[in-house]
Amino acid sequence: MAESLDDSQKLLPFYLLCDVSASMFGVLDDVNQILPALTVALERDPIICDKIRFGVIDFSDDARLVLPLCELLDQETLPALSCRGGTNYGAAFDFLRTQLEQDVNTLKADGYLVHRPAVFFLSDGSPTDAESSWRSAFANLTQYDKQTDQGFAFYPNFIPFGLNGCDPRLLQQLIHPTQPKERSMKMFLQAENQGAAEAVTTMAKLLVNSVVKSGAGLAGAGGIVLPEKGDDLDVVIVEPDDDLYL
Amino acid sequence: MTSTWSSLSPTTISTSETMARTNGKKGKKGFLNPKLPSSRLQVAGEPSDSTVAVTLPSESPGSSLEQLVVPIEPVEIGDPGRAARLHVPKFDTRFPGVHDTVFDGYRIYPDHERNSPTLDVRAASVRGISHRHEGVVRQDSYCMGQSSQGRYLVVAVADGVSNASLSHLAAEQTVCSIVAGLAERIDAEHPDQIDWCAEFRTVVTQSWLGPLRDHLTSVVGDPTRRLLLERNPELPEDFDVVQLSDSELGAVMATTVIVAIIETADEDGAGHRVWLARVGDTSGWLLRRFDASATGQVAEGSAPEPEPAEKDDEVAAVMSIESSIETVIETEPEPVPQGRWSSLGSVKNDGEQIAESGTAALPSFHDRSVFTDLVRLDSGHALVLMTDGIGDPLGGGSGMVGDHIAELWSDPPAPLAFASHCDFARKSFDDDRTAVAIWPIRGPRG
Repeated sequence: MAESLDDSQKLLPFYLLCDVSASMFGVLDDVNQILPALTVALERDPIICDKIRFGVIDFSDDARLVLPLCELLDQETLPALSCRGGTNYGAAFDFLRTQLEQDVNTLKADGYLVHRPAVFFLSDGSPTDAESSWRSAFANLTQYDKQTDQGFAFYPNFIPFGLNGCDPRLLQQLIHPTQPKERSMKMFLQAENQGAAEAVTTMAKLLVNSVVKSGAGLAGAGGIVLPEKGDDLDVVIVEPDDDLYL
Repeated sequence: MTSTWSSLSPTTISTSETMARTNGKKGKKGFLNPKLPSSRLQVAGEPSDSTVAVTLPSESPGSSLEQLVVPIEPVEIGDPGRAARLHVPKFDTRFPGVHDTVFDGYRIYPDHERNSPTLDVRAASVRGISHRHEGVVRQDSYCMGQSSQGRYLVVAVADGVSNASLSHLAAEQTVCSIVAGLAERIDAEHPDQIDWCAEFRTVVTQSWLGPLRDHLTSVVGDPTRRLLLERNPELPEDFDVVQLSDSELGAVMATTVIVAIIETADEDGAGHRVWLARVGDTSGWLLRRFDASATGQVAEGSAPEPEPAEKDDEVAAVMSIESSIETVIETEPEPVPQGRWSSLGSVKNDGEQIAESGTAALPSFHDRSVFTDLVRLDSGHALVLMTDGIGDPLGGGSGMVGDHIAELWSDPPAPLAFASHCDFARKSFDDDRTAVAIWPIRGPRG
């Protein structure tokens, strides 16, 4: 008996959109531990692994699909990131939008019930492309009016992770959505007195936890689960409306 | 002699058939054909050995003896996923009294004389594998009752919202309170007169606050009390639950609900009237049953050569069994009439670009999110109320999940089997599952 659209399985897609500009050189080894750590966590959690897919895109002067959206446990080898060039946010956002559109449409055509994708955006620098260019690319990625169906219906939940060297005020503007409050995202910054490698490890932990908890939440009210201020985690948590005076 | 084996021949199913039907699908078990009376579902050893079958004394369908004999096989629909195999069910140590699974089966009589039953009811609430694995209580609940004069059956199904920690209490209190209240007064008050918005608001104030108060004063209730104080810094440390706003209450207790009031007698022959009301994504459906004349006779029409009844030796019996197995395989998929499931109200996520899992729920609901309906339930249909644990995999009902459950529930299964059907394994669906199904009893056989 063929599966029809009424046989859709639930799916929550996650992406890591990672800066691989030259300044990231020292931490990419640690970033490369994220996928193995996530794989171990998924192996331990049979409930979650059935419901999530994970993909990796890197960017510098251009953006590339490093790991197409997949079931991590089905992968025989995991890719590693390596450094190249500048920090072109516009290229990253444009590439991500195209990829999301393609992935979500493919999954829907394959009969999946696709929940809103979540994107972890990891960067340690400021964009090297023109502000107008990355801003319009970001708007293109995130803006959607449900009433008129104008914009990008598959806009992601966008969660910035900033390492030392990033511009926190700028990254804060990339948190999306920012309302309603119960569905707003956050960003996370490297804690003071913390090395970059350590910060990436913390963020990897945070990412893994978020994936696991969000996957579990699919059974109920759903949404992306992120750590709260006050949780025991060595990272600075920033809400969209927090005042930043760093 | 003849009768035993010939009655077996068209209907006996064995493990070999189960294997054969799913042959080639790695790691997938088949399901037992639900159209076969359960007392005849005897397992016959190894797959190669389809000849050894044991049968029980022949019983008319629906008899009580038959319903005690329940071969339970895990039901898998399509890819069961890793979770079905690997999850480990655990206690929720905070709430020792809440069962993992509950189920019921009743036959309903419209009057106190109890001469002619009119409805069969099956109900089950099964903890989802996600909650089992995490050690969290089942947050679904159901309740049913009959009005004092017997005229109405009242059924409620609720799905506690998972990010509020006491939602299992909300669900349980809501269904019990609504059913008790309506069953008591509905004979006097016509169902048309019910103000459902008021009904749902009353249930919150009358039935939630007591258990919540008890919980908050217990040791395990402390995290909940802290959460409420954090959410509203103006609350005094020794606040009482009556001081909570709907949204504060909703942060710790929230539930969807659907209620059906069913006439126990089909007086004008046009079907039992059913009044429905719901808040949120717990849904009501009419399931079109397989035609009575076709039920249990799947193989006969297209059997290559029906065995003559005179062939009563063992070899003939064996052949007969084998041919019936063949036939069943050949006739699958049987022609399934379109539109077996009709949703009462809209289907969740229908037409949405991206799937959402939020829902309207008690206590903070808007009047316009109360959906009501009046339908007729005739003997060609079953009424099924379900939480989204079943509703989500069912979708619009036209897929494999819909076909599978429609087949299993064309007639009332044994109650324990009904519970196992609700517990079917399907990849990515791990929420609590609750269903209450009501079948008008057809024909004089009862």
